[in-house]
Formats: sequence, C-alpha cells, structure tokens
Amino acid sequence: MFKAVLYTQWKWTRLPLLILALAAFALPLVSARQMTPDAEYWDAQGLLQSLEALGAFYPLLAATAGLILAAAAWAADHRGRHVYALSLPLPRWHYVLLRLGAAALLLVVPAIAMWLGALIAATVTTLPPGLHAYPTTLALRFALAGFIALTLFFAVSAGTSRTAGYVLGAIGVLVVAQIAVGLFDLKLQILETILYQIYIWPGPLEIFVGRWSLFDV
Amino acid sequence: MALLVLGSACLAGGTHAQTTSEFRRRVEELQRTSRRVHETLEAAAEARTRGMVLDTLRRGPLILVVGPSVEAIAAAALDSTWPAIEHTYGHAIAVLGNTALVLQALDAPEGPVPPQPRSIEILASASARPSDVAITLRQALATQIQQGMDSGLAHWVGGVLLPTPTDSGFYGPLYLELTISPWHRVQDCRRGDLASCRLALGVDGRDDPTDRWYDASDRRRMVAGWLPSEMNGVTTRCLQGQDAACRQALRRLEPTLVSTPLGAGARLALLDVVLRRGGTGAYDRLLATRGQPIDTRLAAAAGVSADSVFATWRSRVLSAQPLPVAVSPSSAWVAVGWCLLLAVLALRSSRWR
Repeated sequence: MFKAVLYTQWKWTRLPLLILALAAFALPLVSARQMTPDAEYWDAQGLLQSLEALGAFYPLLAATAGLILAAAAWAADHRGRHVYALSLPLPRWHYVLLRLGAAALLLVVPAIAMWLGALIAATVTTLPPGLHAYPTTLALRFALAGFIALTLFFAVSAGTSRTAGYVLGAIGVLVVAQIAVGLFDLKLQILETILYQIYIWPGPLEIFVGRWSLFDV
Repeated sequence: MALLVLGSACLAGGTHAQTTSEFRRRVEELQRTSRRVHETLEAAAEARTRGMVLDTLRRGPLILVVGPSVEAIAAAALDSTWPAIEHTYGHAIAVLGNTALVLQALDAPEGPVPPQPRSIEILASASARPSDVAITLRQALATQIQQGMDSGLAHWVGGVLLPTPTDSGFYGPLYLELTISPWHRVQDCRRGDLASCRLALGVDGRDDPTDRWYDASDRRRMVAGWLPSEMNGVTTRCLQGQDAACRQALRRLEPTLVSTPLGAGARLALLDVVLRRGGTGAYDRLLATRGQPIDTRLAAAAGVSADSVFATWRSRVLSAQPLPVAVSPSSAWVAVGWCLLLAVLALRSSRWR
C-alpha cells in the first residue's frame, strides 16, 4: 500500500521535485563561487556577509520543498472529496500516515541533492585559513527544516476549511489587535512577542533562523 | 555708594589699563552673549506662540530638552544609558554641561522643538521604543564626550566607543576578522604573539607602518589590491616578487592610507577592555597621560601592564567564536519533537468526518 501511495505522490510531484533537487544541488556550488581567488579579503567580514546573504535561500528552499510536497500529498484527495480515501479498508490515521510518510521520503531527494552539491563544493574549493566547510551539517539542517515545513503545511492541509479559517482568523485577529494597540499608542508588541516565541528556541521555527552558510569559521 | 564698591573691586583686582586687544575681546564676548540671549528669547517666544511646554531632563551636567510627548520615552532611555556613560567617562562627562541636547522628534504631535541656543539636536521618532532612543542617545553623548580627546588618542582610536553595560555581541565580528584576515601580524596575534597584536592594532610601529605592520607578501597583496591601475614598472616588479619595488610603490601612498592590519572595531574593543578593567576613573587616567605612548596610556588607564591588556583583549575576541551553521543537539531534538507533534495533529485530521 505504501509503495502505491509513494508512487502516486512521486508522479504528482516529480517535476517540482526535480527543480527543487537541482536548486538544492546548485545552491552550495553558487556559495563556492564566492570563494574564488578573485574574492580577496580586504574586508574580512564582507566575504562572510555575502555568504550569509546567500544563506537566506537555504531555509527558503526548505520551506518551499515542504509546502509543495504537503500540498501535493492532499491535492488529489481534496479534489475527489476524499471518496477514494473513504473507500479504502484502512483506518483514517493509517491513510494519513501513508501520505505523510511518502511526502517525507520524497523530501529526502532535495536533501541528498544538497548534501552532494555541498560535498562537491567543499572538495573543489580552496578555503583561506580559518574557514571550514560544513556540508553534512548544512544538509542535515536543511532536511530538518524541510520536515518541519512539511509537517506544518501537511497538518494545515489535513484539516477542514473551517480549521484553516480558524488559523487564518487567529492570525488576522492578532494583526488587527497589533494595529489597534498602535492606534491607542500602547507600547504592546503582540506580534513581536508571538514571533519571538515561534522563532526562538524551543519554538517550532527555530531551526530556520541563524547562520546558514556552507563556509564559516 | 556704587562708585565706592566699584573702586574697591578695582583695587582688589589690581587695576591696570585696558589694552585694545582686551577691549576687542570683551566686546566680542558681549556680542556673543547678546546673540545667545536673543536666540533664547526667540526660542521661548516661539514655544509660547505654539503653546508648547518643553521638558528638561537632567543627569549630572547633562541637560536634555524634550517635547512633552517624548518625555517619558526619553527619561526611560536616559535612565538606561546614563549609568554606563557616567561610569565609563568619569569626570570627562563635564563637557556635556557646555551644550544642551535637544531630542527632536519630528513626528511628535506637538511639532518639533523650537531651535534652542547652543544646543545639539538628536533626531528620534515619537513612536520609537526607549531602547532605540537609548542607542541614539548613547551615540550622541559618547560622540560629544569623545570630542574632548586629545588628537593623538583620537587619531589612534579612529571611532566612537559606545559604552554598554555588558560587552556581549561586541567581539563576534572581531573573531571573524582575527580568524580570516590575510595579514601576517593578525595571524601571529591570533596564535598568541602579543607583540604582533600591538602592531596589528597600531599601538606600535606607527613610525614606519608599511614596514612594521606588514611583511613582503602583505605588501605585495596591498599593491595588488590598492594600486592595480598603476601597472607601471614599479608595481609590475612588485607583483613579480621584488619587495623593494613594493615598498617604493607603497611610499607613493599618503601615510594615512596605510591603515592598521586590524580595523577600528578592534581598537574600540581594546579601549573597551581597558576601561572595563580600569573601572572608575579609567577614562580620566587615559586623558591625563596625554603625550605618552599609546600602550603606556592604556596600561595607566587599565591599572595593569600593557601586555595584560592585550592578552585580555585577545582572549575575549577568541572566546567570541560565533556558532557556525551547526545544528545543536537540542535544536535538532526540538525540531524532531515539533515534527512529531504536527504529524500527530495531522493524523487527527477532521477533513472527512
């Protein structure tokens, strides 16, 4: 059963997955291009800053991969009003687990592509003293960020329209509340506090923030 | 009676004839005073016209003029800033008494504060947080105080030290610089050679910077980076490896263009180490040793030997290694935990109930 689910999800996502894998493979190689001998060290931090700027694309790519795979896992069921799922002799949780497992396995493709790209980039680049390459750690972090994004979007997609409405409504209420306290000149940072809880350890999106660079000190 | 008092005063002060230059000086002083009074009256009249009541915040010799809408923010910002300023600069804060500071919030509902005589304006937003205003204030106060530095010290420091209660976050960029800088003095300093630290920081070797701060390969690198357009005979020979040609090429540069191997941030960090180590009165001691070599002044301010200062600075920089891309085990486990939690939420899907 899992093979069948995996095969169908592979068929639905193979084109975007190929693009994601190519992007994941190329990103470390683009980082390596910054380290060419032309990049002198007149500004010690300039070099790392340019690498750090490029590093923003790693979490973005992980989030995109998670979103695409999660959306694709549910797209056909949503279109078919879940008739196929209901006709199967499976408990609901089992079916959802199959879908999630298949999406998670497919996410390994861009993660491995990134690992290979990073390994090649690290091998072909001559690093100045003091700098090191972190290909495996980078790929591991990419995979973890991708899984977080996948499960987050998968959970949202698995809910009803009403649940999605509640989530969006809650976000809207927070935004409106923040605007309202701003109008009344209250120094209350509602959104900032919530975002802080989300992005700072042990928040769910902590893995996305911080330094994402193949080459670092 | 008045004549008697005037006569007594003249006798007590030792009367003497007024020279033309003294007379001119007094007239100029009177004109300056008159201008100040005029400006003050104009400002007060303008404020009265607009019905604005200005608030004045005082800390030590500092006078901060603010509009009513930003008074609370400014007070909070000043409370957080002032102790570090006072502790760091000691008696030098007296210079703040010469000029009033005006916190100008251009978006304040009551409008901008009218121009004040002999004042410096600091721009801020009425909707800013106290922490943001504190940064602006700290910058303005430190700049104002450090204008009292003698030229030798100011030239060496090359920036404004912003006193903060802690030195956290100060050394991270320096770690990077110390680690990947191509200059051999910096690398020797990183490996623990304190004499190289002195040279890299520009404390020693100012008499012949091209020769003492840099070695032959550094000089070739400098010429390649700074004089590539002048590919004449000298630079060509330098790039081919003739050090004498490199020296000749670099001598064409203005001496001030030959910068220290470590940047101004490193010197400010060293000054920060000195002032923290020296505690109360450190800045006063630094100013009091005017005319002496920089390392002597730093040692006097810190109250320890110069080598101890450089060693402390180096160890602080090296201990500020930023976390690279590494995923800490706790972060990884938290991510796995969130994945499982979200997966469980998805398994409880209500979509086809």
